[in-house]
Amino acid sequence: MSRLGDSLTISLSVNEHGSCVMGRGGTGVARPCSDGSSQLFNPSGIAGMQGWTVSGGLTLIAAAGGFVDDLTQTKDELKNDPIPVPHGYITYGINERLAAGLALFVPYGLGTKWLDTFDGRFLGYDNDLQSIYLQGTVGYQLPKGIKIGGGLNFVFGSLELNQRLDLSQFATSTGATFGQIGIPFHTEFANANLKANSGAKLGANFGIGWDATDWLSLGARYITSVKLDYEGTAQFDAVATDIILPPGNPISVLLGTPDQPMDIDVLLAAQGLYSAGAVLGDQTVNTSITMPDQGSIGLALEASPAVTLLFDLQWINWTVFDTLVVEFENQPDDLVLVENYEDTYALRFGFDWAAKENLALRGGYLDHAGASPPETVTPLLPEGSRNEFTLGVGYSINDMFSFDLAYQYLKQNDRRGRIRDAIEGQGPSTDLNSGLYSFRAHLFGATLVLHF
Amino acid sequence: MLRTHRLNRFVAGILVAVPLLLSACDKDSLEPPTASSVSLDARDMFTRYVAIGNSITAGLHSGGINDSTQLEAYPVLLARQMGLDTPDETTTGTSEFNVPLMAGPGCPPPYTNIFTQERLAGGDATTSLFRELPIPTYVNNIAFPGADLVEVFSYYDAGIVPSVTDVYKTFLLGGRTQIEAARAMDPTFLTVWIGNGDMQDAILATADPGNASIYPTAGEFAATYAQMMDSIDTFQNVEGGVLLGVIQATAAPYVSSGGAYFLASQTIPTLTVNANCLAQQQIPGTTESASVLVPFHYGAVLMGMAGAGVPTTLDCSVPEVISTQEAVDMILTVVQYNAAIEAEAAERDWIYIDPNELLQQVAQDPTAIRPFPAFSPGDPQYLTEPFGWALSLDGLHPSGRAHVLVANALIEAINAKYGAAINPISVQ
Repeated sequence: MSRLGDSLTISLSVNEHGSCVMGRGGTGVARPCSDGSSQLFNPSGIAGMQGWTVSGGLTLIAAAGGFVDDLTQTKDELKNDPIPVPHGYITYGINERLAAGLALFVPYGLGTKWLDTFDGRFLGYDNDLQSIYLQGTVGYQLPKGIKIGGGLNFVFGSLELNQRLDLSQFATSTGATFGQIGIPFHTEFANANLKANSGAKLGANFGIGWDATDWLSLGARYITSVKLDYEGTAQFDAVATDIILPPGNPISVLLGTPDQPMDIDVLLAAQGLYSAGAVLGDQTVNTSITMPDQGSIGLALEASPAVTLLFDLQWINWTVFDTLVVEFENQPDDLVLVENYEDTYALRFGFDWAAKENLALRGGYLDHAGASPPETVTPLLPEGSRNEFTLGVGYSINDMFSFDLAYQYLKQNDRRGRIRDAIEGQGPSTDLNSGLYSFRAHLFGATLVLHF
Repeated sequence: MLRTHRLNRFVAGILVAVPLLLSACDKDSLEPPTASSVSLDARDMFTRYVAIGNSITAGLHSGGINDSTQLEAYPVLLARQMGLDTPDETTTGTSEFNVPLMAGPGCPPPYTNIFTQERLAGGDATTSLFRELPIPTYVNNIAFPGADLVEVFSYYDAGIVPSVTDVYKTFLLGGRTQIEAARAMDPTFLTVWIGNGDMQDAILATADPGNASIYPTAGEFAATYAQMMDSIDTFQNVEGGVLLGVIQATAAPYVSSGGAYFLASQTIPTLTVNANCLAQQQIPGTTESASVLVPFHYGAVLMGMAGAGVPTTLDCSVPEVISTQEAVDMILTVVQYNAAIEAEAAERDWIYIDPNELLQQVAQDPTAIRPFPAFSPGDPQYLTEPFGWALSLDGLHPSGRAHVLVANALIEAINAKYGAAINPISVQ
């Protein structure tokens, strides 16, 4: 069968889970915000918080981009609708040293949507993947300005993928593929829809912070990897090829009617491909994807009583995503995809300026490396190194209510990539890259915070 | 003092940030096919070169086609000289000029001996291992063997005669016409060499070769050719092209004059050639004459019998032989075909090349295009090039060396017209 599943690639780590942190370039390890988001960015940060803090918000990711083909130099645009990414935190200061909390965030996810006429639709054209983390957190204040914290993550995942199947890769009854008898490359004949969910898996998040001096703070945190086992269904629907082979074609010759044309759609329909138990019948599908572990270290410099400068270095262990094995109920062999992802590092810089007693202005910049190597840049997530700029504002309405707003602009470096599968029996190769992906996004964050 | 310390912290922070701002700006770039050996002024014209044609353009040699013969075809040679990346044995299907390569010894494998009909790797006329994997993502050489003019844009014309070569419509183009396949490529430059098959059928016919009903009239041909060009005109980004004329099939060594058989009979006692085989007829409007023409498939049988000691007579009044009137009609019709093609080229300010002029130059060397096949095993060209070095073993299709000459003729014309500065292929 055609190689369904290449689009199971994931990569996009989402760090925008709190508009305060987002506004200052995602820096939050050494000097967390007071909205409870430190449960994610450094669990030790909740130690010392007083009373209840409840916050919730949304980051809206409006992505745009496209693919320009080397050969035709025509551009296909990414057609994503804005993607909302929620976050929510509850913390409670049990005493001056001990605090506990509950957090909800989605640190890994993606959504890409292309027109179903895009040539890359054979790798995926309408895809969504989410991993939801629900975390219980405890933080404790030690002497000498040291805080520690940790939490248990209950992680759930869901995914939906859509792709077209390429008839040229599909085997005929002779054993040769349709491509070998001449059917052009990327001739669609079926749509594959795959939906799957994973059960809850357990992970952990640890952090430590140290106020080294009255103007310097240091911090570090580590989130463990979580392997999610997905189980779902794959549904296939026929798509008309509209190909009628002229008289003299090898199929008509084999059937003893060489002077007759051959309607490929009629031929395929007669094969019963979509019936129960058949190759393209509805079937269960299983796969596992590991959400990578990640760590961050950071420092915060109090440049003045009102201005804090923050620096974070974030590492994500994407090497865990080297191969992907997909099991289809009606397929004799598993699908094994080589991805060879690489570790990524993000350098973040931010500032937080208390312009007034109840008003904070923020800004930041970050430089994030790409996880996918040059040979596995695909339509699912045309991912690569990127520069991002942020602005933010925090405003306290009164002692109980405050809100944070943030804007982030993501500009990814144009990246060469492919729109086709790796060649059967060979690994992915940059030789298959046939054009240039561009990607950019505007992110808008809003978080409402309640203290009592 | 406190203020100074805070300022230092701020400066330190900025110094940490600056390297960040300077990093992560490396961008990849688009890599369109680049005719790197072409002058800058003409380079964009050859970004998507597409070749339309029939068996010659597809690379059929010696009655067979495989990846080797396909890669010797003039479009591949031309593309390579332009500086476009062309496929080889290790192709990944992503060259800048792609060819739908046939796998294994061929489909069918080429002859290794035209007289015994032996083919490469012990194959026969039905041998086929289909296309090579991986199939290319797109195809630039969209010619297929057996393509008549009308089949460039239609497979269901009432005039199409079923043929074993119809299988190539699927093998090489997946059921698309050449116009459909070309449109998918959005060509910037085209070479079109079509029409040879229409007239070639007249010398391959076994029952009554040369009969005028076998090939289209000049008017029909001109109308069909114009229809094809109208389709090509709908392509959006064509910047230039070359139209090649139809080869005079009567000049192909696949047919030999009755006089040549008469001369051969002087050394073969068992072969008698009647006097009617020496007939000639002046071609109107020229000082040249047309001879009675004996197709190879008919003459070779007689030569085989005579060579085996069986008394054999060649009588040129039979319908299996092309009469002088039929030959004259064929020659004049091709002249009219080519006038129509030249007019279509002129209308678009494209290049027109008359291949017959090139063939006449090559034919000056009698070892290049033999007037009479090397039927004798004692002839040094008997096994390897019985029709001359410019022809493959089937006597109809050019050899690899001849494809080089065609490519060089194209290069010379393209350079003159478009200032392309493409280097010709060195001829040894």
